Amino acid sequence: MGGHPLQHSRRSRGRPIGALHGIVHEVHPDVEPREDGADGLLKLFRAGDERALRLIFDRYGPAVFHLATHGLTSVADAEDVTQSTFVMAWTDRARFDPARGSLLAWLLGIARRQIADRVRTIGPIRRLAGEPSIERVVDQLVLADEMAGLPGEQRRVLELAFYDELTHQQIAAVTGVPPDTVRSHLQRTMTRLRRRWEVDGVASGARSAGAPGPR
Amino acid sequence: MSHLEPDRLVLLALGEEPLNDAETGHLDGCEACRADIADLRTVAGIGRETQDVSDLPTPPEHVWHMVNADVGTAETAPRPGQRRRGPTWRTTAVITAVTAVFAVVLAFFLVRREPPAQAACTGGTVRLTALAGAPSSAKATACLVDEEGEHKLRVTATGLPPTTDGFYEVWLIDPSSLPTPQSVRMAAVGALGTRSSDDFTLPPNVDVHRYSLVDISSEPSDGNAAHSGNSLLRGEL
Repeated sequence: MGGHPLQHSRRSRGRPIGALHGIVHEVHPDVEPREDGADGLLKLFRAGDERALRLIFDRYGPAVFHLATHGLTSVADAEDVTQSTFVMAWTDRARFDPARGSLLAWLLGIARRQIADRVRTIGPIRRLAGEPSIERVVDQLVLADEMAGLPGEQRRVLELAFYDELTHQQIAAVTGVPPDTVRSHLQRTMTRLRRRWEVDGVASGARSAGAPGPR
Repeated sequence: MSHLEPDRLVLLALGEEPLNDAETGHLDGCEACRADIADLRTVAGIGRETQDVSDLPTPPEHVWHMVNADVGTAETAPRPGQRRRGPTWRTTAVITAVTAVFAVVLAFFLVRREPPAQAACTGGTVRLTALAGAPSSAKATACLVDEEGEHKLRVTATGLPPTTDGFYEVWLIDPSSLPTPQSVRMAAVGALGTRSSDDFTLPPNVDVHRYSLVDISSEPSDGNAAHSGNSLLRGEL
C-alpha cells in the first residue's frame, strides 16, 4: 500500500519474473502475478516457514491494525485484535486456500470476526456521518494492496486518475506517456482492480465472479 | 451499436467523458454494459478512497512480541549449536538491586494500605467452587459477618482477571428454585470492588437460610440489572 515499506527477504528481491511462473497457480486464477514479491511470501507462509510470520506481520500488520482501529475505539482493543488475528492466522494457516482469495483478504476476514466478537462485549461503535463502514475499509485495503502490486508506470497513471482526477489527456501531458498508452494502462489496471474486488470485496453490492468473499 | 469498448467503459466510469447519444442509446438496452459501468464506477469510488489507507502506521513492536510469544516460533527458541549464555554477574547484581528497591516500595504501600481489623465470620467460611468457564486462577470464599449489629455477607475473591468492560457481581440464590430455570429466585448483593475482600450489606427480606447459594457472575456493563447467566463461582452457605 502507498509508501508502506515492504520487508523482502534477500531471496525474493530481484527474483526474475520467470521464476514466479512456478507459483502463479497458487493464487486465484483471476488475480495477476505481482511485482512486489508478495507471491513468494505466500509460498513461505503455506509451507509453514517461520520467517513468513514476521514478513506477513510487517506487510499486512498495518492494514489489520488500521481495520481494528477503525472498528474499535480503544487502541488497546485494536492492538489485542491485531495480535489475536496474526496468532489465529498462523495456527490456522492450513485452512487458507489461495484459490478463494488473497492472504490479505483472509487476514482481514479473521480480523473482522475478532472485531465483531469484541463489539458484542463492549456494544456497537457509533459511526460518525461520512465515515466508511468496516466493509468499505476492507475493500479500500484490498484495492490499495492490488495497486501496490502494479508495475510502476501503470500505478502512477492510475493514481493520477484516482487522486488528482486528471483526464487521460492531462495524465499524458503530466507524465509524458502517450495518450493511447495512458488509456491502455487505465483499462488494464481498472480491469485488474475490478477482478481483485470481485474475488476479495465484501461491501454490499460487490458482484462475485465465482467464489464468495473471504471467510 | 455493439457493446462499448472496454477502455471507453473505463473512461466513462472514471467520470472523464460524458456519454454521447449513441452510447446512451446502447446503454438503455444493454444490461451487461450497464452492469459493467456500475461495477467500474464502484471500483473507481473505492480506488479514490485508497488514498486514505496509504502510509499506514505499523503496529507497535510489542504487538509483534506478543504474537511471537503466543506462537512460539524458532525465533524465541535457541538455535541448535548456540550455547545458552546465562546472566553475567553484573546483570544479576542489577536485578538484585532493582528487586530490593521494588520490595521496599511494595512493602511501604502494603503497610500504608492495611485495613483496620475486620470482624470475624459468624459461622463457617464456605469455599466457592469454580464453574466450567471460570478462569482457572479464580478462587473465592464467603461467610456471614455481624458488623456493628448489621448482618453482612463477606466475599473474598482472587484470581479474577481485571475487566475493562463489565464487572463481577455477587448474588444470593434460592437453590430450591434452580430446577426451574425460568423462575430462579435470586437477589443481587453487590458488585465486587478492587480489593480482594468485600463486606456486603444484605438486601432486606433476604433470609440467608433460604437464599443460601452464593454466586459470583461476570456481568456486562449494559445497564441490564438481570443476571447475565454467566456464573463463575458458587458455594452454599
